[in-house]
Amino acid sequence: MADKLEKLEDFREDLITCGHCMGCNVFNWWTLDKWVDCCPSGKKFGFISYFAVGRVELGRALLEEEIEPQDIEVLKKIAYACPTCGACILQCKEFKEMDNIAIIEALRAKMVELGYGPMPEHTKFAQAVDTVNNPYGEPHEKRFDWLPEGTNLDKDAEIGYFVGCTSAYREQELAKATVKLLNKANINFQLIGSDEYCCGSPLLRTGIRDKAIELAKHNVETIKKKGIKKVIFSCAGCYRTFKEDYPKIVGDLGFEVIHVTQFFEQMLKEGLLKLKKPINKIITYHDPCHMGRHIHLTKKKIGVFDAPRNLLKAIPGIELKEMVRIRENAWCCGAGGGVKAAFKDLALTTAIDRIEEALSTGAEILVSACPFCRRNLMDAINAKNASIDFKDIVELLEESID
Amino acid sequence: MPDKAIYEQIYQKLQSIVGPERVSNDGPVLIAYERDQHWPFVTPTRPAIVVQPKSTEEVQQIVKIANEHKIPIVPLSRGVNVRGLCVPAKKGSIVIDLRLMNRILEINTEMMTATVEPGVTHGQLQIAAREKGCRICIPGAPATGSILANYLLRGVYHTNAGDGIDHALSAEFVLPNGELLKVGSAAFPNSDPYWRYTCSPDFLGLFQSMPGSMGICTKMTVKLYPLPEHEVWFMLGYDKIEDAIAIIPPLMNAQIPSVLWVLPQYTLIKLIAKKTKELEKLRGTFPEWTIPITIEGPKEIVEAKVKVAMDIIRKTSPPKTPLKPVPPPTNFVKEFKYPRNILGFLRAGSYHALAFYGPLKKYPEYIRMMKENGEKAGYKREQVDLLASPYAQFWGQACYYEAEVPYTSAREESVEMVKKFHYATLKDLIKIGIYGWFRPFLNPMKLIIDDLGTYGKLWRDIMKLIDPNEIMNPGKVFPMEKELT
Ligand code: SF4
Ligand code: SF4
Repeated sequence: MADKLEKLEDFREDLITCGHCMGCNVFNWWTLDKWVDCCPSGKKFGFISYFAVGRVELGRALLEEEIEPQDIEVLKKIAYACPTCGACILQCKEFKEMDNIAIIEALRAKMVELGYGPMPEHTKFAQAVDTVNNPYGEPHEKRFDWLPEGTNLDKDAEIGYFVGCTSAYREQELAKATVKLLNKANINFQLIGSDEYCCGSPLLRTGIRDKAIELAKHNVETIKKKGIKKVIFSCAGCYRTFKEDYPKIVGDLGFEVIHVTQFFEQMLKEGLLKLKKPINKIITYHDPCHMGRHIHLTKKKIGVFDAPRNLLKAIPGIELKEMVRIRENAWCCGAGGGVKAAFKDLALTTAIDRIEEALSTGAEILVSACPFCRRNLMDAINAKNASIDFKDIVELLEESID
Repeated sequence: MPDKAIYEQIYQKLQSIVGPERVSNDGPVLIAYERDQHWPFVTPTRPAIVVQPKSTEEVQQIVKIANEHKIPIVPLSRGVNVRGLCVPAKKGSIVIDLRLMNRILEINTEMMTATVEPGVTHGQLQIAAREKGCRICIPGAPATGSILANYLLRGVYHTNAGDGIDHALSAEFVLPNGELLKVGSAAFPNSDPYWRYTCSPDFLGLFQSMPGSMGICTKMTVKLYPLPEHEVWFMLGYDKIEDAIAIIPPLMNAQIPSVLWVLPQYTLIKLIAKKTKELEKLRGTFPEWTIPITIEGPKEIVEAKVKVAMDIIRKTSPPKTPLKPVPPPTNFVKEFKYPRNILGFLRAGSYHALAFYGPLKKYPEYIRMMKENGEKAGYKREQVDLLASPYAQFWGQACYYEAEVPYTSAREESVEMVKKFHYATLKDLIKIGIYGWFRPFLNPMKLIIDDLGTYGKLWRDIMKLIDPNEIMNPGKVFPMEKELT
C-alpha cells in the first residue's frame, strides 16, 4: 500500500495563494484577548522568512524551481529552524484551511528527495535509528534497562505501553513512573518489548520518510502480533506519530492509540482512580504541541487539553495556575521538529521563554506530559538557574495515587 | 543599478549599523519579500537586501547610505498589504523591514493619545488601549496590520466615532537624506506631540496616502477614543440596493451611527462562514443587502439616538427584516473590536483588492456597471459584489467602496478573468466619476496620470523636491516610465 503522507505538490494551491495576512505570527487574539507571539522561529530570527509565511513562500519557490544552488544552505536553515510546533495553523487553518504543519513537513520531505535536506545532525540520528533502532545511538538491548525490578507485567494483556526512545534512554524517570502508576492502578499491561523500535517521529518531522515508513510497519506488526488492543503512550511525540502519521502509512492500525493522560482520565471518570495523597504545590501546565495542536480528536475538536487538566485538578492540594499561552495557543517548548539536534540555541531560547512564562504564574512546579518537552524545559531551567521544578504529570499521579 | 562591489560595501555598512543578524542578502530570506498576494497585478521583484532596524537612528543611517548610492528603498511596517505597496518595483532595492520597531511608546489617557512605532499592530494597540479604558479607531483590516501604516495610508474604519478618516495627530519621518522631520505639534518648540494643527500647512497630510514614497514614518501619535458605555445594534435586510441606501443620508447627517456598512449577501457570508464549503451553501439564506449599524455612547444618548434612528428608517425605507435592535452575532461584535474574521476573505482563494472613494448616490450605477463587466469577464452576475462604508461625517456622501469577485491566483483562467474585470472596471469608474482611488496602487494610478493636470504635476514636483534621487519606494505612487503601457 502506498503511503498517504502529503507531498509538497499536494499543497500547490495553498502555496500560491498564501495571503501574507501574517495570521501565522500571532496567537488567537479573540481567545486570549492578548497580543502574543506564537512563532518561536520567527521571534528568534526576525525576518518574515522565518515565519510560516516565509516557509510557504519557500515551498512555492521550490516547486516553481526558483531555488539556485547557492541558496541551498540558507534554504535548509529556514526550512529546518522550526520546531514544527504548529502554532501557525491557528488562523491559517481556520480561514485559509491551510495546514502549515503538513506543509512544512512536506517541504522537508521534498528537500530530502532533492538531496538538499536534512541537516547533518538529522542524518546522524537517522543513521543511529537504522543501526540501533533509536536516534540516540544507544544499544538496542539496553532499551528496557530502566525497568524496575518487580514490575508486574502480563504478556497476554490487551493493554500495551509504548515507552519510546526518549523515556527509554534519556528520561527514564518517566518510564519508571508510568509502569509504577499502571501497577498501582492494577492495570494489566505488557510492554511492546524488545521489538519496540523508534516510532519514527524524529524522521517524519525532518522529512526522512523512507525509514520512518519501515518503522511504522514494523511497530504496528509487532503490536498486532502481541494481541494488544490498546496502546498507551507517555510520550506526546510517539502518540502523535501513531495517531496522525501511522494511519497514513499503514491504514487502519487495528488497535487503539491513547495518551496516558486520556487513559487515566477515563479511569478517573469511572471512579477507578483514587488520588488521595495530597501534593500541596502551586503548579502550571505546559501543553506539548504533539498532543495539542497536532492531534485531531474528532473532525471538529483538536488537542488533548482537558485530560491532563482534569487529572491535575483531581490531585488533592494542587493549585493549578495557568499561563497565558495555553491549550491550542500554547507556546512550544522549542525541542521538536529536529530543532534540539540541529539548532540548539533556538531550542534553548524558546524553552527559556516558556520558563519565564511559567515563573510569572508563581508556580513551584512546571508540569507537562512529554519526555522531550521535559528534556528541553529542564535544560532551560538549568540554564537560567530558575527556581521552579519540573515534573511529568505521570510522576504526580504516581505520587498521589492511593 | 550599482555594481556588485558597491552592494557588497553597502551590505557591510548595513551590518555595522544593525548587526550581522538583522541584514540579509540571501535568496531564501528575500523570497518572502518579493511578492504579496496581489502578485498577478504587481510583478514580484526580489529585493537585493533586507534590513531590520530597531531604532529611528538606525533607519536614518540606512536611508543615508541608500541615498548616497541612489538605491531604491522600500519600507515595510508589518508586511500585511494586499496591493504590492511593499514589493519593490525596481531590481536591486533594499527592503527596510520595520517589524522589530514594535513598541507602544505611550498611552496617554489624559490626552487620549497613543504613540507608536511602525511595527505595532492594530490588535496590539487595541488590546493595550482597552486595558486602559479606551480604544483605537478600528480599521476594517486584519488586526495583524500596522496601525501606523493604516493611519498613514488611511483606511476604512469600524469605529468612525464621528471623526472621519484621519486618526493621526503627529509623526516623525526619516527623509531620503536621512534627516528627521517632525510634523504636527511635535515640531513646535517645547511642545508635546498631541495635536495635528500648528500654524503651518498640514504637513502630516502631505505624507498621507503615500506608501513611504517621501519618507519613512518611524513614530506616530494617534487618537484614542473612549470605550462605549452602551451599544445597540441593528441588522437591516433589504432586497434592493436603492432601498438599502435610502436610509443612509438622513442617518449619517443626523450623526447617529458609529458603524455602518452596506454588505452584499456574499460578503456577509464570508464574514460569518466557518468553512469554505459553507460559502455557496449559505447563499440565499440572507437578504441581498444587509446594513449592520452600531449606535454607541452614554446610555441616555444611545437610547435617544435609537429612537431617532428607528423613526428615520421607518419613514425613509423600512427593511424586510424586523426593525428592532438585535443581539448581533458574537463574531461580528468581536470583528468590530479587533478584526479577525476578515481573514475569511482569503478563504475561497485570493483577495481581489479594488477599492475607491465615491459618493453614496452613485452606488447603484457602480454596481450595475460592475455586474456587466463581471459578466463580460465570465462571472455570473451574483458573483460580483460591491460593499460600502460611508465615512463620518459624510460630506459629499463620501463612502469607501470595495469591489469583489471570486478568484484564485493559483489558476491561470481565474487570474485572466479577474484581470479582465479589474481593468474594465477601473476605466468605467473613471467615466462614472469617483473621488479617488483608495490608496495609490499602481494599476489605477496609470489610468489617471495624464488627467491630473496641475495637481498631478505639483504632486510629482513635491515628491521630487523631497526625494530628488527617487529612492523612496519608487514606482508605487506614480508608475515608472516603462510601466506606462
Ligand atoms: S496565516 Fe497562512 S495565509 Fe496568512 S500569511 Fe500565514 S501562511 Fe499565509
Ligand atoms: S511550526 Fe511553529 S516555529 Fe514553525 S513556523 Fe509554525 S509557528 Fe513558527
